Amino acid sequence: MSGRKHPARWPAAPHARLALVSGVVGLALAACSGTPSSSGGPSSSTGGSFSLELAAFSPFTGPNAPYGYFQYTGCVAAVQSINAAGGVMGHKLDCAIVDNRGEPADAVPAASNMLASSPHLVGIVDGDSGLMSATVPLFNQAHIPDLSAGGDVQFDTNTYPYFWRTTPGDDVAGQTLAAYVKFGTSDTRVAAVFGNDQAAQGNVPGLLSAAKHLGIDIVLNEAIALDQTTYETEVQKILAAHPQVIVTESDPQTAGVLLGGLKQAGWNGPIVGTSGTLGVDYDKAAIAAIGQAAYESHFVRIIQYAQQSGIAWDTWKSALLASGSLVKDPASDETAIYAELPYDHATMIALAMLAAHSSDPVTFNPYIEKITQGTTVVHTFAQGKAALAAGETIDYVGVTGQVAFDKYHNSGGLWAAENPVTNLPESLVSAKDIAASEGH
Amino acid sequence: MSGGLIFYLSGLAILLGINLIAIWGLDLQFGLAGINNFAYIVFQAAGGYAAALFALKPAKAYGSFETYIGGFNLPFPLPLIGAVAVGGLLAVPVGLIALRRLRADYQAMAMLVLSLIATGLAEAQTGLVNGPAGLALIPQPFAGVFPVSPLGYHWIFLGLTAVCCAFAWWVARGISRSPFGRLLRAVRESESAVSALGRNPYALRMTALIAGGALAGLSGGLLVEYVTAWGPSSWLYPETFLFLTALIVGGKGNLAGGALGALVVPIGIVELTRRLPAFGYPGMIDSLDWVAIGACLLAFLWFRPNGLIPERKRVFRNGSRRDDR
Amino acid sequence: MTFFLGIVIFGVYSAALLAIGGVGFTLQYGVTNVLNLSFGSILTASIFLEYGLTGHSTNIWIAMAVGAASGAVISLLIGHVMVGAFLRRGATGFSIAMVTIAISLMLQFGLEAIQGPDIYAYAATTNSTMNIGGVVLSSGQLTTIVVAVVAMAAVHLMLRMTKLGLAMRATAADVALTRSCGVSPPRTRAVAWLVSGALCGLCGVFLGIGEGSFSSTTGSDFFITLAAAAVLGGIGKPYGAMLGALLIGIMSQAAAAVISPSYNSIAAWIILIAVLMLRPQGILAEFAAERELVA
Repeated sequence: MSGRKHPARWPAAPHARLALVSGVVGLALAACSGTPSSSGGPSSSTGGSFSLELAAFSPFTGPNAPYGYFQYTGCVAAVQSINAAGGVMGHKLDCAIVDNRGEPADAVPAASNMLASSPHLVGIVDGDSGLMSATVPLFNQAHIPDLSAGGDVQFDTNTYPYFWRTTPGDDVAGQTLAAYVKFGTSDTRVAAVFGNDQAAQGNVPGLLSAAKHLGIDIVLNEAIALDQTTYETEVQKILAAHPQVIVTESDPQTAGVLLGGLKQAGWNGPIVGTSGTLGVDYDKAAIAAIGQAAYESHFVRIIQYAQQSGIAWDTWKSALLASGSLVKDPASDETAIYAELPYDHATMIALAMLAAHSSDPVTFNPYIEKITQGTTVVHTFAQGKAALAAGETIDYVGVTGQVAFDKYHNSGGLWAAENPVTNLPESLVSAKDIAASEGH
Repeated sequence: MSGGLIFYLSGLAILLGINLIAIWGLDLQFGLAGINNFAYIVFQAAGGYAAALFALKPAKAYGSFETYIGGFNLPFPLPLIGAVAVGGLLAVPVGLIALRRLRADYQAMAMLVLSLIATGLAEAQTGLVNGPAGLALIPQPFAGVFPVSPLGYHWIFLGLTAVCCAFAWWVARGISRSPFGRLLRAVRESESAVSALGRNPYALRMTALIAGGALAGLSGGLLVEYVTAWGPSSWLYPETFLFLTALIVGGKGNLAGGALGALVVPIGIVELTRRLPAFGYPGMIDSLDWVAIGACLLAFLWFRPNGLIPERKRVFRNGSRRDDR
Repeated sequence: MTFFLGIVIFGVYSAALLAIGGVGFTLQYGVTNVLNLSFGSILTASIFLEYGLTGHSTNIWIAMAVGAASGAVISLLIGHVMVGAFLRRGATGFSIAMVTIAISLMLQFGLEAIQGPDIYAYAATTNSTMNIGGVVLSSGQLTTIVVAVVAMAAVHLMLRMTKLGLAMRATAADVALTRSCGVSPPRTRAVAWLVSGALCGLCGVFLGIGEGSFSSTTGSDFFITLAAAAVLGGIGKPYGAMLGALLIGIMSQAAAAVISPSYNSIAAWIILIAVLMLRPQGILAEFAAERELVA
């Protein structure tokens, strides 16, 4: 996931750094008593047999809390499917919440504690790019596979063997914006209006360099302060530059005021948002500012894309519904890419274990790649399990599409310009377009 | 006791030590000298950043994902010493701005705003300390020197923390019992009396601010080296209130009170709420922590404003300079 | 030309928001002598109460009334009852500030615990707009400015024309003397908490409507800038707060335009520090000693 680490405004989320464990004491106690448990995961120990743990290591408090929720939802749905199909080698799977609290001083102790106190931890799904550089080395040192949805650019050239990523870094997100403008529209004059936080600004270098390669004109590149009561001066600047399309990312509150200001000043043109604008709060704020009709017609979100049809999709949907109260809002979560990614990640971990005939992370880690390179294409855990039992090699193509890891353990995805409310794609941004934006 | 629990407890002990140093430092400023330092967290943050910037390699060495000034890649213990120095030095401009003879609550407000400005600048100027994302990959002391497991390293770090705690205790105690300490208390009670004696209250307060700042810096340096990462979201202004609450609850003006406060507030309240079964949405317990801290603060301000271990009154008998202990 | 007009007009809009809250803050601080650091939380709580009580009603008059009433009640509870209890015990200055901090932590995080960290949004209204020399203002923003002006006028009238206002001004200036004149300080203070709370709630309503959405941190985010306006103009001087709000409102917009948008709030805070350093009594106040600001 592209890191949506918007700076915690005061006192948005003052995290006592002393709270070094959040869901993890549950695991620590569990380690003591021998009964796996988690704060909220499906309870799964059955008479003597232990559950294999997957940890959703994400922010569950603070401004990025919605992304932690997505991670957990995806994990839970996958585990639901996996357990329904008989689990892995006689063991059920279990999802644990590990709250990294969105800030380094709590994330690192939380990670260390999780690693030290979970004997049956087999994999991690994570998605907070702001903290990856601090926590991924720890996961790697502990030899636990980490399948990530985080966008930290440093990991474009990752060398940690236990790190895998099926979403591109934030710099590619920026390039994709340019690619969309060039190949998906007829516009050439772009105003870039990004919040002055790290996550939003992470898009800018990719956007600028891609724009150069593609020959589009960035007429304005404005970093705006977040959560102001009015953006009048910024809006005037934007309009004075005469853009044809505005590209933006910011937190929801800022977006509400900014979009409202733009509308008020007479802007009626297209607005392109990044994947960082995904979320109910952003939609709420935008709709409050410009109305749903305008939001749907003028705003597109460039985001990694997952097909909304096919066996994988159907299984994903029913898994969500079958997860009961653990999933807050199946109808809206089903199109959330940041829930779909961990769903596929958890499924891949389970399939890798099956393919390697081992739940030991050191043994099955290489199989994470192998299960995307086999001959038999499968779309669900159940299919994969059956194919492996029949002695075949599989290629898992989940709800987020074909995975192809490069030598850095990165795999790009499909991108699309989506309607912000329905998440239906209005046009696709092909890999060829993205390659062109990189100057190839 | 399982390995996981030992790991957790040893980590907790390290944090307790780090908080002890910080709280004793604040006690020098607030408890002894009566400075309403609402910007205390900035001192700890400065120490943390200093240790980080001294210990990290130059920014280019990590690709381009972090931008920051400095990066001198100094070995232990120089980053920690740097942290202490920076914490103390920061006191000078802060003192110049806010130690003026302002009314108590005005002074508090000025300090609070300084804290906000510090956070704002750190976030806005990304070239300084990598902005809102903060610093990561900070090298740890003795890393790689001994071939130990993570738990083993915890014990090493705990040893280091204990040594620093002892040092902080020695400094704080020394100041408290010295004539300088007596002067600070006098300034706290009556500035005019101290002036009448020919001493400069402003200089005395400034010295207390520097000493406390140095300890805060040490605490920050240790914290950053333990966690290996540091960012503005870790030092927002309410963290100062946490330390102040600890002092008010434990008792200011004495080391035992500070220690008790460190045990009760940062470690105690938060850990107690951990024992509750998870309910509500995942972040709810975190919010309730702060409600509990506020409630605790209020309760103590009402029932026991001097804290659990009040400052001992110092009595001089028969004109001798012997302190009654 | 439109550019500069935009800075001025939207500076005035920002100032209107700051003024409503700032005057409330300074009035309360002046009369009760209490630095109320929970003012921001009261603002947030007022928005939530108003939203909860009126549903999603966008009738501006109802929203204003409910918001102001909520603010007044909460402020009275906090100020008169809770802080008052500490005051009667003889707590002073810094302790009281800590009390307000404790209350603010409980209020803000209590709200967050109950409501969650989510953002709440007002339903979109089809705003009519008004064009002033090329600068477009929404009806909501215009209303904010108008209401601010009316509220300021009302405060002015209250202070100058009514006995209550006189009592408030007297209490702010010299409590002992006031008491000897037969005016009841506790009652006057209670009214100050009420009025400032009402202004706080009113400010919250317009802040919420103006931004279109709010969360449990909205009030605190806004509070320091609001306090800056009050201190700039001189504590206890409502006209000072208005002037301070105007200055900060326009300066922030100018800073965003000229320097960089990131320095928006920082500029306001630096102004505050400078004022505290150089002239803590504020622009309009005459003597610092009178308020015992300088020890």
